[in-house]
Amino acid sequence: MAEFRLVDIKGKRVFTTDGLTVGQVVRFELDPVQWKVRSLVVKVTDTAVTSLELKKSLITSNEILVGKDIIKSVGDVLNLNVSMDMLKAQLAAPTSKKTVVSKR
Amino acid sequence: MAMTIIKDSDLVGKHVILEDAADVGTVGDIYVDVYDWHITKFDLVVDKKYVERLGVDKKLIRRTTLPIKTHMVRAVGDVVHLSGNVEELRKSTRAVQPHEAAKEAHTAPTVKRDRPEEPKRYQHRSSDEDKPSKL
Repeated sequence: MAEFRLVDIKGKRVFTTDGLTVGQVVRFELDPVQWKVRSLVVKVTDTAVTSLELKKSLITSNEILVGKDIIKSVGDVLNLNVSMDMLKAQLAAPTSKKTVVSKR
Repeated sequence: MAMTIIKDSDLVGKHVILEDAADVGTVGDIYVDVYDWHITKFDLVVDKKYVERLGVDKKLIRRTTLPIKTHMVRAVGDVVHLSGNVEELRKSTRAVQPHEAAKEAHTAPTVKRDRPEEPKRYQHRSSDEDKPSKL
């Protein structure tokens, strides 16, 4: 069992399998009934905004919801089990039954 | 039934209420097992007036916390409802300080770097030494 405090995961950088930076974890969405972390809110870097073809927001920071299913490992950083292209495809896809990543 | 999803920041700071209506404190740090993303426990930041009743040492600077396993939680709404009363909570938990709880949690290994070599200090030489030696 690898136990972390949520505050210790906040701020960790998120990487895809092709070694590209997605952004940083900013907060979590929790299910207080099942006591599970449902998803992580990742603040996307400017470069990743372009790569993921997200609409740039001038007022608020660009954030995406990353489901726990696509998180491969947690250490000094967070590794996803998808590449940037796969992440982009999932963001572009219509809402699936099992949301692994979505726009905010 | 709609699934309730809350932000972590909405849970932190919520008051923790027992079955005997005791407001024993607030939610502090939340702990998660990253294998299955299950929330295992949270720190209860004990209210001053319950520090003695819960049998924990009163600290002047550090806040007193008790680890609360999530299976003890009955409901989460405006407050967090725990099962049991003060006496049962006293029996079921063990007081730990925040830094101790942090130690228990897994932390990623940190790479220790050797301290950079200090720059060489040049010894002050007396003015006589500066003079070129006479041949």
